[in-house]
Amino acid sequence: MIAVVAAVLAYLFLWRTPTGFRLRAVGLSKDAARYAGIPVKRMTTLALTLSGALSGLAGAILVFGSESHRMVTDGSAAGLTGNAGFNGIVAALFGGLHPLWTIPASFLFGGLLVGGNALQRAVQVPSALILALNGLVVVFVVSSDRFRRRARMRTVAPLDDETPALAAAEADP
Amino acid sequence: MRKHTRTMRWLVLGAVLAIAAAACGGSDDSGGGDGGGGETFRIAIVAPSASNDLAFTQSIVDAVNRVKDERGNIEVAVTDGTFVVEDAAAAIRDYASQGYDLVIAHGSQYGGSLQEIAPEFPDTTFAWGTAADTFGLDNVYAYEAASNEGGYVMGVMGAMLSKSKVIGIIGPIEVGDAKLYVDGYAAGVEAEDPGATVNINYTGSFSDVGLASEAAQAQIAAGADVLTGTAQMVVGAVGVAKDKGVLWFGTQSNQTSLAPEIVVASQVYHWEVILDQILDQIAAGKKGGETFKIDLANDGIVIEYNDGFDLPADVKQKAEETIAGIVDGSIDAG
Amino acid sequence: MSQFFSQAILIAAVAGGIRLAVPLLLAALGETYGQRSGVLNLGVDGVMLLGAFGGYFTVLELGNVWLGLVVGVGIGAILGLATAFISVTLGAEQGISGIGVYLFGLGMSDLLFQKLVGTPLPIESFPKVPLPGLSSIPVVGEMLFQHSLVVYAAFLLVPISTFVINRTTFGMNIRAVGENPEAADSVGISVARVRYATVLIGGILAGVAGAALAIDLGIFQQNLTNAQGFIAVALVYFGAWRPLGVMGGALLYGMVNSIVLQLKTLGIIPRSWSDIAAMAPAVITILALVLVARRFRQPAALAKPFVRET
Repeated sequence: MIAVVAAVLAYLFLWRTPTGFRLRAVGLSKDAARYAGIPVKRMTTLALTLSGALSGLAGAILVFGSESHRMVTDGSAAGLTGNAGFNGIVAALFGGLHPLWTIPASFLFGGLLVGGNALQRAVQVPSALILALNGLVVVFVVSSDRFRRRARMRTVAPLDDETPALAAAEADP
Repeated sequence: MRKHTRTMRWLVLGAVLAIAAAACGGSDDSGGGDGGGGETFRIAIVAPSASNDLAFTQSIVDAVNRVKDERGNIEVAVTDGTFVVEDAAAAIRDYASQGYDLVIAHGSQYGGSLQEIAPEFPDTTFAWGTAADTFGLDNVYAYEAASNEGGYVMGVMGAMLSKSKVIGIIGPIEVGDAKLYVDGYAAGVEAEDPGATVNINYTGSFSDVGLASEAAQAQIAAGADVLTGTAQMVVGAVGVAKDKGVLWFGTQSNQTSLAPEIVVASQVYHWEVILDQILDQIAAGKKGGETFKIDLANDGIVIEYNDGFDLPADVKQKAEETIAGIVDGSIDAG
Repeated sequence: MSQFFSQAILIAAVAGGIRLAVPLLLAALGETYGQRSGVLNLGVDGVMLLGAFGGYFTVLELGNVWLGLVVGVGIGAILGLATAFISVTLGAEQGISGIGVYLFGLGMSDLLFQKLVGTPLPIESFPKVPLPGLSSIPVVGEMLFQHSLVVYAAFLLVPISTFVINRTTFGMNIRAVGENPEAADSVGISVARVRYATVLIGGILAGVAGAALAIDLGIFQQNLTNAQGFIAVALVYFGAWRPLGVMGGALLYGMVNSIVLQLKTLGIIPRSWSDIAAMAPAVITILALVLVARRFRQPAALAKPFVRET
């Protein structure tokens, strides 16, 4: 639940506040943003801090959600999180980098992983096969033309209907 | 490009639907026999590393297969490589709901999940290793290994065989079974030769083979001519030992095949000793509530010598004496 | 502490650092070509793993370490072509497709290992080739000049790559395509052709890196690379997309790991600090980045698929 709330908050922040607008502007074009008077370095720092905070939140949820309330790792990069970090990147990109779309994207991807594990148990194929299949599915989905087009639109379109915020940003030094 | 898209999307949709269908179908299927009767007895193993890791997970998979060969009429399912507790918990729950008679949760990190899942499936027996807590539940068994005992014996052997009197131990992370083994081995060296140097290095990972390999190099640079270590990453260390002609002691599984020239002996976990007991108890109607330990006394831990290695008679004799001493309690294996 | 500065230990530490750096170096150099031309390949680790298994299996069955390397090249080439097809021709989102390749490589290498090999068997490693004359130099000779041919070749690739990228037409095309593909296209450079070439090189080097790793270790195991492929990608950023910088990063990472191992072995780093010490490579790399970072921009067209506007 926290995750969904966080996603909604992220959307509200990025699309409905002046600071969020500036953040997105920097991402779209650093030079244009600087020209418009947006403090690029500060925005970048803010973005990274927020992303770090959310990652930390994810890690905390992972540990608190587990019965033992303990962090267990085998020392490898994916010991505790089980590739959740990498999967998170995939889910974010699946959602076209739009906070609200990451919600269904994460559920879908999670479903893929869980379904794959269930398949492994039912058919008793090696888990390695499921992993390889997951990879193939990701590659195929991402290769489809239409998907790429949609992702591009999503990052460009919202800028058009932000004229009030744009004016607000320009009026605010 | 248009044609690509259409085919791609149907392919993907089909794949996802197939996976979903299998998932649903799998969990509805409440398997064959009903709990240990005359029909097939179904055992499921959930383990953190690979079944062929020549270490922790392999030890339980081999043991279950030995039991299966011996008793017959047993069906075995394995989900390995599930280090992440969430995935393991899902697997344990799924196997239980599919009507498996015995679900072995072979990983100390699975404890919390077991505590939550076991009460929901009172007809299923759960076995948790390596651990000693059954949570007061009557369908949970716990098992562990006295790896310090075998470690001690091999430590004694190592001290006798070492010419440089420097011995190296490569461990993963200082916890659980790994720590028990390392401490036992070090104690054995100390008992045999207090003047010998034991260098212990916990690399920080169970799975980083490259790091283990370099750790072995570092140990050899520090003068070690006898090495040992635990966890699946040691295959890297054994390779270096082989290259440099340094002796190796293995644990958890028989590691002779990795380097027949230099492996002296391995402490092999014969979990089947307690698996037999567990299966008998289930057949007699008791589904849990007891802890087991494999050690030198019950032959659950066996020092398997490498026949291809020329072990001096006095070393072998001292080893046998040490084993006897631990078994009858006169020696404290740390 | 004085123990650490003994000759044997220092030699071992440096030589070990070099050994640890080589797979990273090879993979990162390959990725540099790709990224310089604007393609981000996150599937490096997957290619390394498949190359590692291929190399391992070849040596296991055929007994020749060099054939193992050749197989690594082959596997890397095939996967490189596939990656190029996905990223360049299909224009797929590069971050995701790379992760897909990684998952595929991780699973496939493990699956093949389980099915074709089963219980791990050791294989032989590359023979050490002391360089005549140079290897006799006291101390330094042992540190630097008593490695396998693969090690020497990996380091040779650094000046070669620098030369290729900076002084050949091919290199110029790479840079042009990476900075401004539209302009390059308008001047007649085939963006697709250049990117296919660089991604192919990246794939081949990743495959070789994996094969070299497995053969050097003399064994294979699931997830043998332990995410080193991702570290290699990070090293490209660290090295500011220049081969020399990448080499610096790889060596730094390898050395820190090697030194920490030595210090732990000698007990200079006490066991209670063991886990904190495991952070050292990452922390030191970040520190180095902070100290050394200058105004190096990434290739402007990095990770953006090129579509010719008509």
